[in-house]
Amino acid sequence: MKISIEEIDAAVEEEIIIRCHQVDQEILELCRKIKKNQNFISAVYKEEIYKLPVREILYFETVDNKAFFYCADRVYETRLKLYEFEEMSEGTSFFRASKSVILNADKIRCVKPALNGRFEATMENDEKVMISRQYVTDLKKAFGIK
Amino acid sequence: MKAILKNMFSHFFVIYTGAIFGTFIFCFIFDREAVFGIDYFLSMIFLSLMGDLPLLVFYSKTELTKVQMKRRHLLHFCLIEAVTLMIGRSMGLYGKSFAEAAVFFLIIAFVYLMVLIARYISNRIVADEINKRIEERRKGE
Repeated sequence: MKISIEEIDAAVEEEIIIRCHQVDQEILELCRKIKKNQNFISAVYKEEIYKLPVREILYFETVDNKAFFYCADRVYETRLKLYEFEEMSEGTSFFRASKSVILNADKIRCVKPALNGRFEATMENDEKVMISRQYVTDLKKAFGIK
Repeated sequence: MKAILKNMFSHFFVIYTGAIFGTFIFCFIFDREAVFGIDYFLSMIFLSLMGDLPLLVFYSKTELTKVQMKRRHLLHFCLIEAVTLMIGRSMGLYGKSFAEAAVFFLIIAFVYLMVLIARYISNRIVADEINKRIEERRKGE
């Protein structure tokens, strides 16, 4: 594949255009990696605001009308709603795992079946997160399984 | 609720298949000469519909924990047994003897277990495939 880089004026917005014969799994993976590396999100930890790289987030969860980003060693609070983060993270490695959780597929260490058609994901920090039966299709999609 | 209803729809067919398979086992043990009329298959549809209702115990507004899910599975199994034993008796699917009721109970339990095992095996295959992909991604990074 030929790679072309064109330098543009500072006033013009930067963009990446992929010219391909067909949008296949490889192209989608490439898009996912590009998106993953450029996103940052604001979140609160101990009353201080942090600019958090989205790729560092293990999962997003809403509990009692509050929302949290779970990272390897910290839990950040956010004002984002579940649907807002879901929209923001569309086309990335994040997928809806249950009524209140959006999971980062890149941070899953392994999965195993649980009762009632659910799956249990073990995250990179050894935390276990349940994936509901109705979102198993999204889990499979996140790993390119039909 | 929508997910539960969707689940109930697919479960109806699983229960119906299980009921027909259960009939085969029951007749194989007790009555190999049995002949069934068209009404029997309608009764099985009714039995499957009733057997589908206990699935509502899995309805929850929040995600169920492992312990909650185990408890509800146990409750679901008890309700399935109660419903099918009552309907089965009223339809005359088994006789008054304790042995027939016990075999009927065990057949329901066997079908229930088979469905759980089949689902686990199918999900195990999916989990293995996903774990393989995770491994591949790690090697590629």
